[in-house]
Amino acid sequence: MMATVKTGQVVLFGAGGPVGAAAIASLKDHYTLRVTDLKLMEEVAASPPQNLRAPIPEILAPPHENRVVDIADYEQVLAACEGMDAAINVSVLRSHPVLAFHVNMVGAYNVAKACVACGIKRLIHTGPFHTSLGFDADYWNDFQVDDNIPLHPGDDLYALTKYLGGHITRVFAEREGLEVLTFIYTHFRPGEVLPEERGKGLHPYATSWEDTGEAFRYGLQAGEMPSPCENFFICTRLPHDKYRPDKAKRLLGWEAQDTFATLYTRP
Amino acid sequence: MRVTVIGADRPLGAALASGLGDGFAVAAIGVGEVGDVDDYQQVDLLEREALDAALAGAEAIVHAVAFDPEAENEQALLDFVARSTYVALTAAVAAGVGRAVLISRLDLVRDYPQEYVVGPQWNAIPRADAGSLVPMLAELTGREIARMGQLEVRCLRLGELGGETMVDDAVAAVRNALVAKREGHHWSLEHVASSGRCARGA
Repeated sequence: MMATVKTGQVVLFGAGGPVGAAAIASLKDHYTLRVTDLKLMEEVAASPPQNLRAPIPEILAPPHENRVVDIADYEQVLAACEGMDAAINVSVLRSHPVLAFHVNMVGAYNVAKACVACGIKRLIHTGPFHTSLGFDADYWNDFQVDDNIPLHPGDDLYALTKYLGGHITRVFAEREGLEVLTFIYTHFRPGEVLPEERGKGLHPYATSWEDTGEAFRYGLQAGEMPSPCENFFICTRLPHDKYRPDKAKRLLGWEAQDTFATLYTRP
Repeated sequence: MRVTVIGADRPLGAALASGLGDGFAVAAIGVGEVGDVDDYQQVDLLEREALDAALAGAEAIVHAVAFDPEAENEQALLDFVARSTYVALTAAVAAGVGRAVLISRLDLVRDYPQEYVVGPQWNAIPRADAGSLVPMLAELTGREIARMGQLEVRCLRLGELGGETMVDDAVAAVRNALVAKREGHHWSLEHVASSGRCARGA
């Protein structure tokens, strides 16, 4: 069965966050979405944004569907995967010592297992790259870092639990025939550069919200991958040459459109 | 050496706590109400404050939870093993414990073809089920925390107790791991088998 999903139904897990909001904006006109989150989407949409200028999810009307799903509950995840052609897991919980394991690790297990049970081939998993954790193995002092490096989360709760969830997802891919694309992020920001931001610099691993959403569409539509589990840096190519997102361009055909030249150029 | 054996409510942990013997002052703790070892103490292994108290004064820990855990379902199993490992090792770092011995399973390399001479430098290949994944999750947690350079973690992969790995060999391996001199890395991995394909010289 081909993993490529050019049309059809896609379930989103953890869609109430800004990455989910970006995904909804980019996918809603191309797929029928089952948008899920632990909270009612109406409640999410009525809340303040996660941070300044971060997107808030649009409430979609039928044929799309909004559904409350606790990703730590396998039966709910399984029901959400039924009838779907692809799945995207953008769920995350960062700082709670219990729920971080439930959402980031057990949730990843539940999604991967449910995908296998429902015959879903393509799963887009997501996770962070903590670029500066304060110990020598975090790659902060390296350059030309690419997508295939093994992440080193240290003891950071958020980084480690997502790392464990990523490995679980990889095992399902290698053992059960899933094709997992893992999108890796660090710093998000709006594509628009405000006049007062010009020349102020930016994080060397940065992605606009708009590009973040579009990457999911490219991920769903991309052809077969060279291996069952491929990691992708989803960021813009910057002249710092610290992080290289070349694989996303090569295998997905995706390339960031927001390149932020006015941020790193003297006004 | 003052050693806290974590997971002493289960057969392996109890055997290790009982067997370390001369030279080791052992505190045996676990999540279960009872443990088959003297002076066993029930501790909530998922609560950081409980571990902070339990590890006060310890010079080393033996974390045996990932070897033979029990839980009510797959999700609880994943959570218990990964989180208890994280809590124990981060508490050990905070307490200034210098060394941790982490017990894992040879099952992680079981599915390589029989004709392969498999050793600790072969990648773990667990199956896609919770029982098979949990030793890998414990290893990954231990390895990444060790990488920070504040705690030496020596991981021992054991086979079925009393079969592929005899109890005496498991105890001897743990004893050695507790006192061995560190050589460079803060993470190391060793296979401990008395017989079978992973035994020395097999």
